[in-house]
Amino acid sequence: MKLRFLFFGVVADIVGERKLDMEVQDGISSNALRPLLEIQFPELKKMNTYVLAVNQNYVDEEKPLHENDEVAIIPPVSGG
Amino acid sequence: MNFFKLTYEPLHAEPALHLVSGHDLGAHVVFTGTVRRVSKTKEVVALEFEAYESMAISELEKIADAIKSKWKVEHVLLYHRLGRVEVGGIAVIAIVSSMHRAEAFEACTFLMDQLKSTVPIWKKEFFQDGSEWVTPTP
Repeated sequence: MKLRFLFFGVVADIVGERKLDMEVQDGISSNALRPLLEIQFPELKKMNTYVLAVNQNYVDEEKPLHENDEVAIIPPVSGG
Repeated sequence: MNFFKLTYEPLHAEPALHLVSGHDLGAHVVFTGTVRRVSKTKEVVALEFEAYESMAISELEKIADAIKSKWKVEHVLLYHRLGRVEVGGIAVIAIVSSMHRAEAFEACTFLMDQLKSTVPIWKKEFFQDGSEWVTPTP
């Protein structure tokens, strides 16, 4: 299935992408995202911390992903 | 009501205040965050803001819901700049309106604290000799 990945701030600079569609195994869960991303973009391991959001909601527990879900890689926020 | 806006246009406090003003509320706490010349020890020439816009708005809605469940507040307004803001320019306007001042002050502080911890907006600092993304210190 296809997922849409969005990259912001320092993460976009590190991975050199802002938006990317990726084919992943059907039915994978949110817990599989980090390892998958860090294989695709080893530079991400340089980040001390980042969090993930699926369809504009922070991922705070494991949940299944679906075709066309939007996954955002979110470095520490610094608005205001 | 809630009023949220992410914009590339310059921000002004007066029209924002006008929007929430009326005859029934006695307190409007207005906070404006402006771009400071000195960050840590370096001289800043400008900031640049980027947001995950759809999620930023939905996180702001959650903050406003939390405020309204905690305090007796009528209006929550949050305007945030995107793009480049020069030193002295307004980066953010926050207004909380209520009958009396105590809850408006508390809720406005809460709004800004939450903005800085959960809303997906990022700033990059521009110096004379380069730029870097701001990583908040815990």
